[in-house]
Amino acid sequence: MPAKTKAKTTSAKWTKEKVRDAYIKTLLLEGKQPNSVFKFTDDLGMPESEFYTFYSSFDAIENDVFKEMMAETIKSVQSDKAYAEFSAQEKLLTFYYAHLQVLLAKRSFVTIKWPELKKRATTPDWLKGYKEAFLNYARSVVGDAIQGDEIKERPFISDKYDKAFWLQLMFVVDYWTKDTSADFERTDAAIEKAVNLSFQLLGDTTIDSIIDFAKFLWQSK
Amino acid sequence: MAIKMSHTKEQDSIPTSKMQRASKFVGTGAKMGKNYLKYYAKRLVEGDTGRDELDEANAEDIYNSLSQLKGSALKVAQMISMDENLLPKAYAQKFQMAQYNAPPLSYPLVVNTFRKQLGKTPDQVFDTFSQRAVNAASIGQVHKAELNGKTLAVKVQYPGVADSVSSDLRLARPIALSLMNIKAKDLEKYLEEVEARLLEETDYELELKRSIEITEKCNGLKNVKFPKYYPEFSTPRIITMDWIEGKHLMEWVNTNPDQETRNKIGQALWDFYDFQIHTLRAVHADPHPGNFIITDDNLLGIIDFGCVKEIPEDFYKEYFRLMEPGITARKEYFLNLLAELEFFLPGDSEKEKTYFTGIFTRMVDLLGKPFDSASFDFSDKKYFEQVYGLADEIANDKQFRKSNAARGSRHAIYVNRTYFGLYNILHQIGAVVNSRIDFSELDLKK
Repeated sequence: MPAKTKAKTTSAKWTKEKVRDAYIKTLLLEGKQPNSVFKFTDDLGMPESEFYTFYSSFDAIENDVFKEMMAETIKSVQSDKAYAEFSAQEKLLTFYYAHLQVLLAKRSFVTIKWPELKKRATTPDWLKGYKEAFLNYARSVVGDAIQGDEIKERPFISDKYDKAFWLQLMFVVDYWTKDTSADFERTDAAIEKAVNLSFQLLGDTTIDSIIDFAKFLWQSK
Repeated sequence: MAIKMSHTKEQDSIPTSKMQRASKFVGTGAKMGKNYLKYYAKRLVEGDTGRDELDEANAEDIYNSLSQLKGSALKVAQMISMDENLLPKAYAQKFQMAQYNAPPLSYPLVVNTFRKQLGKTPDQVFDTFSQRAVNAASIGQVHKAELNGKTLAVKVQYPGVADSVSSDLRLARPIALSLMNIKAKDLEKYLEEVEARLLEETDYELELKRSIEITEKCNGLKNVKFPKYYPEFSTPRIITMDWIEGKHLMEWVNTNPDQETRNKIGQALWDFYDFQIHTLRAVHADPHPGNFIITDDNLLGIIDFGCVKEIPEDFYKEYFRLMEPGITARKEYFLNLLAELEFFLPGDSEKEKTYFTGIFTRMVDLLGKPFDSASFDFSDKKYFEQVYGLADEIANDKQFRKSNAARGSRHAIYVNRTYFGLYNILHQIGAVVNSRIDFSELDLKK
């Protein structure tokens, strides 16, 4: 690296996006996080200290990527003027379908990261921003749903609805990472059934959807 | 669900416990949960319930849930219930009543399908598009759309349907076995046939191609109306065609049309099938009332070519040689034909042969009856009671049930189903039809 001041190098060469893209590429090619920030920056020909001006850790980069995919999804569904007219259930469905379109651009990244969740009981650092953004969004959908009488407000439990939808999202993405059907059609069906079920469970309990869903899962093994 | 429960009675005449159970698991949604519990409870208590019994119980339980679904297993059950009239009327009714109950596709999923398949949302493709489905098709649903002043019907397929056909069939197998009382090995050839048709039904590209072909070839027929199809708005999961304005067949029947109109529609229906069977040798094998629309100027609109059975030359010849009026009187010739059509099996004793000859004689005489009539009255209740009566008799007959081998060619499934469906619809229309087939003009020589 030529003898320039650090600040200049940064502005001229390295940006947050570039570091992030380089990191994802490394992760995808290696299949795991680099052993250290030093190793990563050394391979890039970048002073380690500069890395920290953008991110504090690899997890922070990943957190950024996931958070941004969530933000992009929410922005894209909300920018559609028909969306505002939808029922809460349709809003959530639209969200899922749009989200998978966004995730599709980084499917390899998601399929590397997602299985790690199985090993953990708590949300890892790299998913915290994503989760928070989703919970925020889910609360707005739950609010709409309760207002629109689609789901029932229940003492104590209502506060947990957003968490329930978070589990549903985890399921959907997990299903999608393992889906081998063309065009991920089975995930589309899974979303439809999962959302149906959740709204009926939270609204009025009906066994129909449970069986519908159970059969679907049973079948797709 | 409460309404459905009422269908579970009327089991007095059912011969075996298998049948009893079989009839129970259709259309009793509310019972389902309980059955599930029972099943698991039984397994917990008894531990190693006999493997067979477990499979059977399992099949039934699963069937319970299947009856709640838009699944192909149900279609199989329906089809088998129609086949050969082997199942008594009561069961056939139950199967037909079992409606596909899965919730309709959400609008966001329809949009998603459009995005993936056409790269645009429905609103971008059409001037208007109904967010709600206006009709359920067997493996999809129909939306109404408008483009440049034209009203269109847009059929959208449920995602993952093609995938689930095979596994549904695996579920249907044990049920079919217990219903038909035939050996698994013998059932194989029938299930293969059914599976092939069902898989074809999920192939919208094939359906589009066939729809265009058949409607073009049937252009010369009188009093029928076909929609125009739009390949540019069709994909493996979407078919777009003209919207045919009118009443659904049963709806139209309920308006109590005059006899002349009934006959006209009935004749159009008969001619349409006659032309397909004898000229095209490929037949719309799903004569379900829902596939027909009567327009305001009393034309027969035909809207669904999902299930098309191509009739192989050999089978065609054998089948119609068997159906020729008066054939059962020519004993020896008739016996030879039955053998050729695989109705007799190598292991049959003389007694069995005589017994089955009797049954088949009556079946052929009865089912071939319209072929000899220039004005067959399909409203004739007596005729249909005879048909159902024979079916009941066969199903209740110990000797027939004891002989648990499958008889007849695999191709017969769909041809029989077609005729049976056709007769049923004509009965419901109450039409008097020239249903004579001039056998001297058919090329039936080997």
